[in-house]
Amino acid sequence: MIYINNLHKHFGDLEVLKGIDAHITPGECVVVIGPSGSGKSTLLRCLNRLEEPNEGSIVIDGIDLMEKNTDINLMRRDVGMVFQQFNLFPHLTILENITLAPIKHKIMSKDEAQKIAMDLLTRVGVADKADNYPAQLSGGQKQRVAIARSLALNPHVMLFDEPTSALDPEMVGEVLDVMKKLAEGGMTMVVVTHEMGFAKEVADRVIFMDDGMIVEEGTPEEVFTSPKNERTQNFLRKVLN
Amino acid sequence: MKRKEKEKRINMKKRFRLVLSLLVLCLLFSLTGCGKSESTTTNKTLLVGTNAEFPPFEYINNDGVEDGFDIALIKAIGKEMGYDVTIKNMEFKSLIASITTGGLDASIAGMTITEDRKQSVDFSDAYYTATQYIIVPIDSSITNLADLNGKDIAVQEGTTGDFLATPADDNDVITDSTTNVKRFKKGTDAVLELKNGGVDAVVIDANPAQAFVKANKESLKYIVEDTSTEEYAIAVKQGNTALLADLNEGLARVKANGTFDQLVATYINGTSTTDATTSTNPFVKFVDKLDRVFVQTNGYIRLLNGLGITISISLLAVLLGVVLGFVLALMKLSEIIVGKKTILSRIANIYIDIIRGTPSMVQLLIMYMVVFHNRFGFVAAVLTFGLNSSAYVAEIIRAGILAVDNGQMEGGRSLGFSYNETMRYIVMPQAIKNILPALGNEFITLIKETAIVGYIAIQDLTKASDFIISRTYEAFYPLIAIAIIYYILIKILTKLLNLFERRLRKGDIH
Repeated sequence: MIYINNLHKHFGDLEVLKGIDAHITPGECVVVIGPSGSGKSTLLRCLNRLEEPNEGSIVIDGIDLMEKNTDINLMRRDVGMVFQQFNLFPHLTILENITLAPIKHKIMSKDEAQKIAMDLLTRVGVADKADNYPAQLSGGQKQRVAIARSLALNPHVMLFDEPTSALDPEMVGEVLDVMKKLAEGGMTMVVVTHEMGFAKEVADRVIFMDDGMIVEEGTPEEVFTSPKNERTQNFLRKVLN
Repeated sequence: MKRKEKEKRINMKKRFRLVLSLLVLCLLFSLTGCGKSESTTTNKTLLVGTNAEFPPFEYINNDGVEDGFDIALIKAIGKEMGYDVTIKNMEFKSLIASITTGGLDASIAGMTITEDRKQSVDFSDAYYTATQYIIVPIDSSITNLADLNGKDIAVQEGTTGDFLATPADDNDVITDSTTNVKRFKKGTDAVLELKNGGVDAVVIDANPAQAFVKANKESLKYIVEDTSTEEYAIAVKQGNTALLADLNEGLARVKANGTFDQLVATYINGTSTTDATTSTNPFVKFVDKLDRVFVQTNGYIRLLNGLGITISISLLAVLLGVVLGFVLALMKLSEIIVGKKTILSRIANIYIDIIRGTPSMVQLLIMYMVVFHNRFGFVAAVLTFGLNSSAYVAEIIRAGILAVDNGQMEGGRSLGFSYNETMRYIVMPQAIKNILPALGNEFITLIKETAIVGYIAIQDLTKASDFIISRTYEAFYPLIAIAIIYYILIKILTKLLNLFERRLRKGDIH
C-alpha cells in the first residue's frame, strides 16, 4: 500500500531523514516512536508532501508521489492528516469544518455532506457541538472533530502527527479511544506519538527512529519487551520509567 | 437677462459633477497622456486660466462660479469673436507654466506685463492699468514703499507686489536684505496676516487693496504707491499670433461698443463687500456674524458640497487603494510562496518604497500638472490618493494574511485544496478580520489627507473654508466650522468601525 524507498530530507545543512525504507500494508496500524528531532514527524509529513523530500520515492496505492504528473491535491484526499495543533478552521462551525472539503471538491451534495458529517460527529462523540465554533470546544473535542474532518473524504490512509501532545492529560484518553476504534475498523494508519500505552495496545507494528534513520522495527512485543538495539533500549528506559 | 435659466443650468452642472467625474474615471482607462477630448461645435473653444482669488478682477461668486471683471471681459471678447470660453481656476503661479505646456489656451488673471513674463508668453494689448497700493494698520507710520525696508511684508506669491517687495530683484526701492517677505497663495491671506499683526504691511494691486480696506476700514488703510504703473493683459502661448490677433480685435470691439465701460462700472467702481455689523449686543453680533459668514455668502452650501467632494474622493481613493493594494500584497507574498525574491515582489517593493518615501502633496501636483496637464482635477486627486493609499493598504493586507497561522494553510492543503483554494476558502476569510479594521483606519486617515486637494483647485471641504475666508475676511468661524465637520465625520466613522469590528469578532473567542 505505502512503499517508502531511500527517502532523504534536509533543511539547509541539517539532514533530517537519512534514507528511510519502509512498507506499510493495507489495514496496518504503524506507530512511529523516537526521541524529539529523530525525524519521525518529517517522515509523516513527507507522506502527503507537506514536506518536499529531497531524494527517494513514496508510492501510495501504486501512485508515485514524487512523479511530476501526480496531482498531489487529488492524492491528498486519500491521505487524511491529523495535526498536533488540530488546525480546525476557526471561522467555520464544526459542521462546516467537516463539510467544506467534500462540498468544494464536489464529491457530494451539501445535504449528503451534512448527513455524513453528522454521522462522523456521532461516531467521535461531538454531535451536540455541530453548530458551535472551534473556539468553544475543548482540546479533546477539537481533535476528535479534526479526525472526523479527515474521515469525511473517506481516505485510504490516516496520518496522525502527535495527535495528543497538545492536549491536557485528562483529554488524551478520549482521542486515543477514537483512534483505537478506527484501527479496529481496519483503517490503515501511521501514527507518530509519545503514547507508549497506545503503541503497545493498538499498533500492529512499531518503528523506532533516531537521528533520521529507522533503528528498529517489529511487533509491539518485540520492540517493547526485547529491544535489540542499544539506542532503542536507552529511549524506552527513559520514556517508560 | 435669462438669469433663472442660467442658474438652473449651473445647478444641474453641480448635480452632475460627481456623476461626470465617475464617468471620466472610467473614460480615463482609454485615454492617453493629454487627452484632446474637446467637443467640436462650430464655435472655436478657448480654455482660459485664472486665479479666482483677486477681487474684483476674479473671484468665486456666491453661486460658486468664477466671476469678476476679467471673467466677464474674456467672455465678452469670446462672444464677439466666436469662441466658447471655458474658465479654469488654478494657482496664479501655475498659469504661465500651463500656457507654455498647452494645458491652457490663454490666461486672464490681472496679470501685469513684465519683461520676465514676456520670456515665456505673449501678451495681448493691455486692457487695464493698475498701480500698487500698500495696506498698513490704520495707526502705522509707514508712508511709502521705501519705508518698508527691513520690515515684515505680506504679498500674494508671484504677483507684482511680490517682485516689488523682494529685495533681491533689480531696480528695487526695497534693498535692505533683512526685509522679510511672507508669500501667500491668496491676497486675502496676506491681508489676514496683516490684520493679525504678523506683518507690517501688504503690497498689492490697487483694486483689491480698496476692497480689502473697505471691509476692514476700522483697522486698515492704504497708501497709494505711484512709483510703478502696471498694465494687465491676456497671456497666450508664444507664437500663437492667430489667437493674439483675435483677442486684440475682440478687445478693441468690446471697448468700442461700450461693453468695456459697462464692465468697469459693474465690477470695479461698484465693488461692494458686506460691511461689518454695528450692533453692540454680543449675542446679536455673534448671530449676525454667523449669518454673514455662513448664510449671506452661501457658505453653508459650499461647505456641504465640499464635504460631499471630500467624502467622494476619499471613498473612491480607498476603493482604488484596496484593489491595487491587494494586487501589491499578492506580488509581495509571491516571495514567500517561491521562497526567494521574485520580479513581482521586487516591483512591489520599489513601488511601495517610492510612494511611502515622497509627500502626497508632491504626488498630487505631479499627477495633476505633469500627468494630466492641469485637467481632470477630481480624477487626478482620486488617482493620487488611490495610488498613495495602495502602498499602505498592501502592507495592511500582507500583514493580515501573514497573521493567519500557517497551520491553517497546512490544514487546507491536507484536505486536498490547492494553494489558491486554501487562500480563498480558509486563509482570506480569517485574514479579512485582521484587515478590515485597519482598512477603516486607512479610510479615516485618507479623509484628513485629502484636505490638500485645494491646491489643484478642487472645491473640497477645506477649500470651501478658503472660499468663505476670501469673501468675508473672517478666518476664525470657517476654520473652526470645518474642523468640527471633519471631527464629527471621523467620529461617526470610528463609531461605525468599532461596531463593525465587534460584529466581526462575534463567536470568535480565543
